[in-house]
Amino acid sequence: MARSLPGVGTVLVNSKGYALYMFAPDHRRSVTCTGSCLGTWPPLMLPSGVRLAAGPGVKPTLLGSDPSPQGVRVVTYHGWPLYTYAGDVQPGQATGQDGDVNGGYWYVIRPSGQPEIPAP
Amino acid sequence: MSTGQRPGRPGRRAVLLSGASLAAGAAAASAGWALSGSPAAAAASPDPATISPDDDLMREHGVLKRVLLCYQEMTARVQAGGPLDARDLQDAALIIHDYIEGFHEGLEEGYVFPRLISAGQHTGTVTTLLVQHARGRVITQFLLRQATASGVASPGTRARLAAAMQAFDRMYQPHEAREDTVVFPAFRQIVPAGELAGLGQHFADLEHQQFGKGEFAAMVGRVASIEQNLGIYDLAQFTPQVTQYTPPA
Repeated sequence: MARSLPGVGTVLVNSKGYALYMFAPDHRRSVTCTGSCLGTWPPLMLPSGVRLAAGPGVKPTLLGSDPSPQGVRVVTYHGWPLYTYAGDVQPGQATGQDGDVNGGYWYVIRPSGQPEIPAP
Repeated sequence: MSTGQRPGRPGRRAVLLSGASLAAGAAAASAGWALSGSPAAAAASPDPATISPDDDLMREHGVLKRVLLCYQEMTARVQAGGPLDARDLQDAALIIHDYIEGFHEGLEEGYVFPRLISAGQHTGTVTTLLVQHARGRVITQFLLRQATASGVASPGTRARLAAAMQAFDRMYQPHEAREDTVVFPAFRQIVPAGELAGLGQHFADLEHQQFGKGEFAAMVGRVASIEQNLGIYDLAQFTPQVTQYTPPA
C-alpha cells in the first residue's frame, strides 16, 4: 500500500505501515543485498503459495517477485526488490532514506515506481 | 566494487574505498543462511578454531573502540585549534562505514536482536540500540561527505566534524558497553550451545565472503595506521605517571 510519511511524502509501505526501500545496486534486476546486509535490510518476502495483492494507492501492474540468493521470493515493484529497514522501529518512519550503507544507496519508492532520490 | 553510488553524484566511494574493503552484496552472494536457513547445517562441522558469535562481535567492538579513540583525539585537536587530516578522518569513518555499520551491525540486527525480541528479553534496550545504529549511520555519512581537504580547512566545517565525532563517541561508548554486558550474555543464554557453535562458523563465513581472508587483521592494521598518524599508537603513553598510591582515608 502507499502512505504519506513525514519527510518523504507518499511512498510504498508494507502491510504493517513500515516504509519499503529499493537498493540502487539491484538495478531493477535482482536482489543483491545478501549476507549481513539482510539483517539491516530484511527483504519483503513472498511466502510460497501466497498471491500478491496490491493495497490502496499501489499499481498492481508494477508488482512482481524475484528469486533471492537465499531461495525465497522477494516482492518487487517496477522491477525493484523491496526491503524494510531495521532502523525503522515504528511504522510511519523512513529513517533509511538516502542512506549509503551495505554497498550502495537506499531510497523509498513512490507509487509511480520511481525511487525518491534527493537532488544533489 | 559497489555500483550503488547515487545517480548523478561523483563516485566518492569508488575513490575512497581501499582494496581491502569490499562493498557488501558483491562478494556475499552465496551466503544462504540469513532469513531462512537453519544453523544446523553449519553446526554439523564448525571449524574448531572458530570463536563464538558473541566473542566475535565483541572482538569487532574492539575495532570500534579504537576508532572511537581516534575520533576523541581528532576532536581534541580541532577543539585546541590543531590540524585535522582529512585522510585520517576519512579512513576512520570508512572503517566504521564498511566494517561496523556495513557488517557487524547487520549481524546484530539479523541474528542477535531478533532472538532477544522473540524471547521477550531487553526489548526496550534492543529498540534503542536499533535507533542508535540508524543515527550512527547518518553521522558517518555526514563525516564521509564533509571530511575533505577543503572541509577540514573551513572553521565552520571543522567545528561540525568535531561535534559529529563527539556525538558518535558519546553514543557508542555506552552502546557497545551495554551490548557486551547485557545483550550478548542474554543472547548466549537463549541460544543452545550447538547452535551457537554453528552461528560462530556462519559469522566467520560471512566475514570472509564480504571482506576476504584475514579481514580482522586487516581492519586492525588500518586502525593502527591511523593511530600512528595521530601519535596515539604507543599504548604506554596512556599509563598514568603514578609513583605512589595513597588510598583515601
